[in-house]
Amino acid sequence: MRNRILGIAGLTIRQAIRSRFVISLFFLLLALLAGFALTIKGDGTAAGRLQMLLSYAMGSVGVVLGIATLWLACGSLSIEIENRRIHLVVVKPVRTIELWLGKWLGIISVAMLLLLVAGLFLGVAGHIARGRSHPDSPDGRALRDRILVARQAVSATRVGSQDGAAHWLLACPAAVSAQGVATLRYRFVAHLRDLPPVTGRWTVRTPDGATLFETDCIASMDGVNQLDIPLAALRSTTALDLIFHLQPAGEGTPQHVTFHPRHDVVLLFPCGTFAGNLMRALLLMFCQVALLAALGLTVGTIFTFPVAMFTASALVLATLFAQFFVFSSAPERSHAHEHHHHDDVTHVTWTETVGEHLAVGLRFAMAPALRYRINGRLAAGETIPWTEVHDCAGILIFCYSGLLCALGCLMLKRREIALPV
Amino acid sequence: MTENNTILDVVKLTKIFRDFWRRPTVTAVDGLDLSIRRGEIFGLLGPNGSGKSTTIKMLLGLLHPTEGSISILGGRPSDVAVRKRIGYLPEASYLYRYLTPRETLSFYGRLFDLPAAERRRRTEELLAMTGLESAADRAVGEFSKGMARRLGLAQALLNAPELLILDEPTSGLDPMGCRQVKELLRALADQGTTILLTSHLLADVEHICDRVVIMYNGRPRAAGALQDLLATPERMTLDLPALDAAATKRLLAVLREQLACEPELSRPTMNLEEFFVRVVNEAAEDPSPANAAGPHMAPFLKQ
Repeated sequence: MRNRILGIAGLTIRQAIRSRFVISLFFLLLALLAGFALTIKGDGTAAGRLQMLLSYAMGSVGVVLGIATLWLACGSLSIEIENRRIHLVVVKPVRTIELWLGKWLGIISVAMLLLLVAGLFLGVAGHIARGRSHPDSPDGRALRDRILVARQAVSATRVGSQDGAAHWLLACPAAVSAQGVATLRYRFVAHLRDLPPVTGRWTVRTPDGATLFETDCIASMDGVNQLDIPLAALRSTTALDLIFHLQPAGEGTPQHVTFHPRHDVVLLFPCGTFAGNLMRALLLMFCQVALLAALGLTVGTIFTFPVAMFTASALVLATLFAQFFVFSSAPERSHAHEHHHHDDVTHVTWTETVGEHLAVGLRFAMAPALRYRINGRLAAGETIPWTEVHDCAGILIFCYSGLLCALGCLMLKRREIALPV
Repeated sequence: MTENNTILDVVKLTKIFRDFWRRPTVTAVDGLDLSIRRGEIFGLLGPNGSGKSTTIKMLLGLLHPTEGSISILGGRPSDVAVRKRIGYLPEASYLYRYLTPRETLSFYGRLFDLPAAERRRRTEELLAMTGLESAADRAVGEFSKGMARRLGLAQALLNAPELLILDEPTSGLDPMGCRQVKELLRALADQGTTILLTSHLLADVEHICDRVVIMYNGRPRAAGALQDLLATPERMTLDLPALDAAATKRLLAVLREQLACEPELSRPTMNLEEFFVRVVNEAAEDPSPANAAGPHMAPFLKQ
């Protein structure tokens, strides 16, 4: 069985390489990454530039590789069925699962190779950025402490306000290094644009009231604010009490602030290297690409290549945008429902109802697959834990791809391969 | 022959093609009964559209019969164990154009789960047998139809099959290639390999087939041993060395006395294929790739 699967995988890889698919994609990715590296300016600092490069590059690599993988997978079986090359394979002692798995392994190996190239490029870009900036300069420190690092995010729990100060409680991770900084991240609600910054004072205490760290800050009303806290100050405790005092600076400055309800106050503790985090981010992306390969292959067992590509793309887009269908249709529906009692009926058509149910169903079915964010976290130096990689592999590869594999094998078994298409 | 010697048994095989709405469009095969014995070379004949290729595709599990049953090597066409014992050459050589012949044979060898060393040995022997040694590392996409056909035949023999199913095996081959293939098939049959083939070249079929069935519009119209089907009991041929004019005249007079009609006298000729092969063999001083692919059989096929 292993021999046959590896044989089919090897054939798929050879075909992808010799048809110049891999080489074209390789140069496209390199051009894309090099283009970003040469043109992105960010906020003018090395840290800002690298952060934006990581964010754009990971997003673009994901999209390009996703489309390319879907293309390769949709064509892999459907084109062979169309040009009848599959006849010489299926008359050999090959089980349908061996054929499907062999193709899938071949396609994801090609994707893995290209992901490694992208990963290597970004790793080298990070290394160059680190080498070019002075380690003791503010830019060098920001690069080292906020971007080229893996930081564990610990959310603080709001415990209320007292004497005009906001309070949070937070549990420290078990092992905190003595060197480096932890970063406090917070965000305000701003109802108007271009509000002047606010001044305030952050105090970090132990639960029994001993002050560990205290600093004044000037915080922006829109966007994310970050504050570095030396780790040496936090070593001796397992829990922290965070307090923010607003200090209105004068006329025209906000006299009170509201912390953003959907963005927790978070303390980021360094817990690993950028290289490790990049590798885990690539693994998450690999799992997503593997799912796309499974989808393309299975759809390719049912339809001809163009129809398979269209169907698979439509499914992916519908999954990604299902949440918007749900959000956009829900208020209208409740609005119509209210009017129903006042004989001013705005009818909800059956197509809207069916569409909403389909969107809700699709979103429900695909929710576990959609919860893995990659590029924003890597660019923010936020760690992607191994547990998440395991979960992602289990859900995307073993559950979803496994289901698609079963469906694909069933279709291959039932299908009359030699029927004219 | 005993029942155990039956390699293929087909009963009332019918295939009706349908359109998207499941409405029948054409009956490609209609109630075909077929039984093939071990070691036999069986010809499936008929004009285009008579249902030969559809029958073969049903025997291989590439199409599902609408009605009827197929017992092939004691099992069903979809059984993996059965497919291990079958070799198949399709009507066109559906080979991967980016692979070389060596890679092609190695790939199909892996599908038969042959160990690496055995795969390599069989690959080299088959390349030598089909005269493709010198082109073993060229991409199949660059091959002529004849070369692709030879490689197709090599992949069909890779597993030393008990049943060899060949759809137009000599199409695209030059006369030398045709002759070599026919000699090879005869030798394989002598060793016990059962061969089912279709061909438009009736001379080829006549040379090598033991039994044939002739199909038309999906139905078998004539079936049996070639000797029986082609026999003409009302005619006779007298084969003699060439006589001089006087002796010929005397012989014709005697025959005229015995027969109610005028006897026909003619000199026998070689057929064009025999003449072509003789001329080419005499002309070839250096063994060309085509000549190198002699009638010898790959050693693993003799075992």
